[in-house]
Amino acid sequence: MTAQPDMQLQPPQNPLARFWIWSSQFPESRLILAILIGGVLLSFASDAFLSARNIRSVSLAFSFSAIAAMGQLLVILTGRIDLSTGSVMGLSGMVTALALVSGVPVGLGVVIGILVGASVGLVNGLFSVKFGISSFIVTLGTLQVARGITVGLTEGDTVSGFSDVFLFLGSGRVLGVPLPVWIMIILLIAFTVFLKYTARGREIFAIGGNETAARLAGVKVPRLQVLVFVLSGALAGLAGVLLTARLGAAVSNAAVGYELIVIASVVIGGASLSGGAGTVLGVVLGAMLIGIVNNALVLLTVPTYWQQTFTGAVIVAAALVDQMRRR
Amino acid sequence: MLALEGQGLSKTYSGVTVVRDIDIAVEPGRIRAVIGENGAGKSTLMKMLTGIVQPSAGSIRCNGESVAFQTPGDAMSAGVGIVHQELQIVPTLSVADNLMLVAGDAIPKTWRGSPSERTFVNAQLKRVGLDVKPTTLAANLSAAQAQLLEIAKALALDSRVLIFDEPTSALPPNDVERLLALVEGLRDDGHAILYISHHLNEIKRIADDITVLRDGQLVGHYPCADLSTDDMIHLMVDRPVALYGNMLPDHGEDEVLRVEGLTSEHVANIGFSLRKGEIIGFAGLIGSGMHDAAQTLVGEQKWLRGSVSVNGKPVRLRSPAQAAEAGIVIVPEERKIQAILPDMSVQENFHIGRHGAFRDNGLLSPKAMRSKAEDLVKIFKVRLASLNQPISTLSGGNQQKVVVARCVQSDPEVLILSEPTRGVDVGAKDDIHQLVLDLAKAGTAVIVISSEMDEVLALSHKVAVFSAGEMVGLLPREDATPQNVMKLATPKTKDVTDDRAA
Repeated sequence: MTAQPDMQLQPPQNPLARFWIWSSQFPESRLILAILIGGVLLSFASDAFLSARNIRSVSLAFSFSAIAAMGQLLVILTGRIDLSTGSVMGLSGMVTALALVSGVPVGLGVVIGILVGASVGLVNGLFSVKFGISSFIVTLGTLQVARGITVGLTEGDTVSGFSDVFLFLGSGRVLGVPLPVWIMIILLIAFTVFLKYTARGREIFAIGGNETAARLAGVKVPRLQVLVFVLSGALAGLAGVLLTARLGAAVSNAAVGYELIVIASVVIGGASLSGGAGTVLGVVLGAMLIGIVNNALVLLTVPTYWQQTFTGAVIVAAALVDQMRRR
Repeated sequence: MLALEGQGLSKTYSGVTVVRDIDIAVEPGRIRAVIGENGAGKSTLMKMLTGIVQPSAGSIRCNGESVAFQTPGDAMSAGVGIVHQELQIVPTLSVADNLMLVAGDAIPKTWRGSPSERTFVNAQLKRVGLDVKPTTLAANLSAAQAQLLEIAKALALDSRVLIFDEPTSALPPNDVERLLALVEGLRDDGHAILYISHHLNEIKRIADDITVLRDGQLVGHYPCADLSTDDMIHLMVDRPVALYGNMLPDHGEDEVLRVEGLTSEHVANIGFSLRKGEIIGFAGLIGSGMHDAAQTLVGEQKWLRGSVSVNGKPVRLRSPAQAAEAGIVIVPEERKIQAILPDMSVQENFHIGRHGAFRDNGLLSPKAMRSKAEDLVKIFKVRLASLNQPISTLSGGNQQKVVVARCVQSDPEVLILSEPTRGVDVGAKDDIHQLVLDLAKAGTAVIVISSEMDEVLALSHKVAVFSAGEMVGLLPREDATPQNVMKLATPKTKDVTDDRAA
C-alpha cells in the first residue's frame, strides 16, 4: 500500500481522547492510570489503604504471582501456555522445605527448589516441543503430576520449622521494602533487558509472531522453546520457595489455582495469548492490579465468599478494555 | 445497461487515502480487466464493490439502482460475486457443504443431502465443469479444482457480476487455459466480469476492456485491442520496464555447493553443483517437488539419503538454523505463512534470525539495528511510511524486498529464492530480478525456484527440472528451451493413470 499521509487527522482537543491515542503506543500507561485512579478512590474509601503497612502487604502479596507471571509471559510470547505454574510453586516450596528441615543449608535449599521448577519446565518443554503435544495438554498433565508429588511426599502434612535466614527471604525488609518485592524488581529489570536487548529475547517474540517464518529465517526454535519452558518453571519454583518462606511453612495445597492469577496478570498486562506481543512491565502491573483489587475487597469488607466473583469480573473487564484498544 | 457501476469511489484508512475518486463500470457480456502494480488500489476497489469495506466517498449502482453494500452477503444477494485470490474454502467440509454455506435463499432450506440440495449442487458443479463427487472433502481437491469450486460458490446465487482476483496465480500452467475458457464462457452467457491479474498475456487474451490504476488513482479505461502488453506495463508504472533482460554475469570456477542424490520424504535424487556467482533455476509444474527440494536443501525436510558439501566440506543439515550457519539461506515460497511476521514492524522483520550481527558487549545495539534497517530500505528500494509500521501494511512486493534483504544481510554462500516474485507487481519484480543478478555478480551462488518458467529460464545459468517428486534432468542454458523443460517436466502417462486409480 502506498502511504500518502496527505489527509492528517486533526489531533482531538479533548485531553482524555488525546491521552487515549497517545497511550495506544504504551499499553502500560493505561494500566498505570487504572491503578492510580483505583488507588485514589480506595484511599478515600479506606484510611488503611495508603498506610505503609497495607502497601507493604499488598506489594508482598502480588510479588509472588508477578515473579511467576514473568516466566508465564515468556511462554505466552511464543504462543504456548504453561498451566503447571501453581503446582510447580507448591512442589518447589515443598521440596525446599523438606531439604531445609533435613539440614541442607539455606542457599542450596533455595537452588534445589528452583531446579525442581526448572526440571518440570524441561519436561513441559521436551514433551510439547520435541513430541509436538499441545502445551495446554502437557502442562495440564504436569499440573496434576507436580501437585500429586507434593501431596505424596508428605501425605498431606505441613512442613515447617525453618531457620531465621530462610524466613528472612520471605518477610525480611531491605530499606523498608520486603525482600520478595526487591527480587521482583530485579527480575523485572533483568527480563526487560533480556527481551528487548538480546538476540534470544527478540527471537522469542519472533516465534510467537510466526513460528514457521522464524524457523526458516534461522531461529533455533525448538531449543529456544524448551528454554522458555525451563525459565517459566524456574521462576515458578523461585516464587514457590519465596511463598514458603513467607508463610513459614510448606503446605501441600500451597498456590493451588495460582496459574489462573498468573495467566490473568499476563493478559491484563497487555500480552496477546496468541503470542508475539507483551512486556514484562505490563505483566507486573497486571499482577499489581489484581493484588489491589483483592486488597480493596478486603478493605471494603466484601464477604470472603464473594471476592472471587469480583476478581474474575475485573479480569474480564480488563481484557475487554484491552480488546477495545486493539480495534 | 451497466451491471455494476462505481462512481467517484475513494477509500481512506486513518488519514491515508489508498483509493481516490475512481469511476468504474462493467457491462453484461464483457470482461473488464483491472491492472496496476501492487498497492495501486485494485484490491481495495474490489473490496468496496463487494461490500467487504465501505467506501469513504462515492456511490455504487447495481443494474441502475443505487446500492450500499454493508457486507459481502449484501453484494452476493444483489448478484455480485467474487472469487478471491486466496481461496475461501473450508477444507474439512465436503464440496457440497462448501457450496451450501453460500447458497442462502437460492434453494429452500431442507436437510443436509436432500434431493433438492443434490440437484442444486450438481447443477452448480456442472456449470463450472467441476467433475468431482459432491461428497468429496474439499481438502482433497487439487488447486485447479478448488479454484473451480470457488467460482461455483461465487455463481451459486446466480450472480450476474463476477469479480476474479488473480484467479490463475495458484494454478499450474496446464489448468490456466481451462480457467480462461470458463471465464470466456461465462462472459458469453451474459455475465459481467471484472478480472484482476498480473498476467498481462492472459488479459490480452480474454479482456474486452482494460482499466489501469496507478497509486490509487485511475489512469484510464481502454479497449483491450488498443493496448499491447508493453503499453499496459508502461501505463501501470509509467516508465519502461525491461523484463527478463539477458544480463547474466559470468560465474566463477570455485565450487560452492555440491549436492548428490539428496532425497527427502517428498522429493528424490536432487543432484547438482554450483559455483561462485552461478545461478541455477529449478523448474517444474506445481506439485513437481521443486519447492520441496528448496525446503530439503535447508534441512526443513528430513534427509533420507544423499550428501551435500559446502565449499568442499560435507555438511549434514537438520534445520534452517544449521543451514544458515553453513551459509545457505532461503526466501520461502509462501510469503505470508513462511516468511513474514505480519503483526511486527518492518524493522523487526529485517532482523529475524540475524540479531547476532548487532551484539555489542552481549547486548543488542538498537542504534546499529536502526541504521542497518535504514540502509536496507535504501538499498532494496522498499517503499514505506515508517520502519515502525507493521509489515502486513506494505504491498506484497515491498514485503518480499524486506524478506530478501533479511536473507542476504549475512552474506550467504548460497541464496535460495523460492517464488521470489509471486504476487509481486511488475516494478518490484524487476527490482528483485536485478537484485539476483547483482548478488550473483558479487559472487553469491543462487538457486531460483519459480512456477513461472520464463523467470527461471531468464535468470539461470542452468536449469534443474523436477517432475512428480523427483529431479529428472539438468539442462545447461543453451538447451534450456521452454519445449525441452516442458518435455521433462510433464509427468509420464503412467503416473497420471496411477493417480486416477488411487
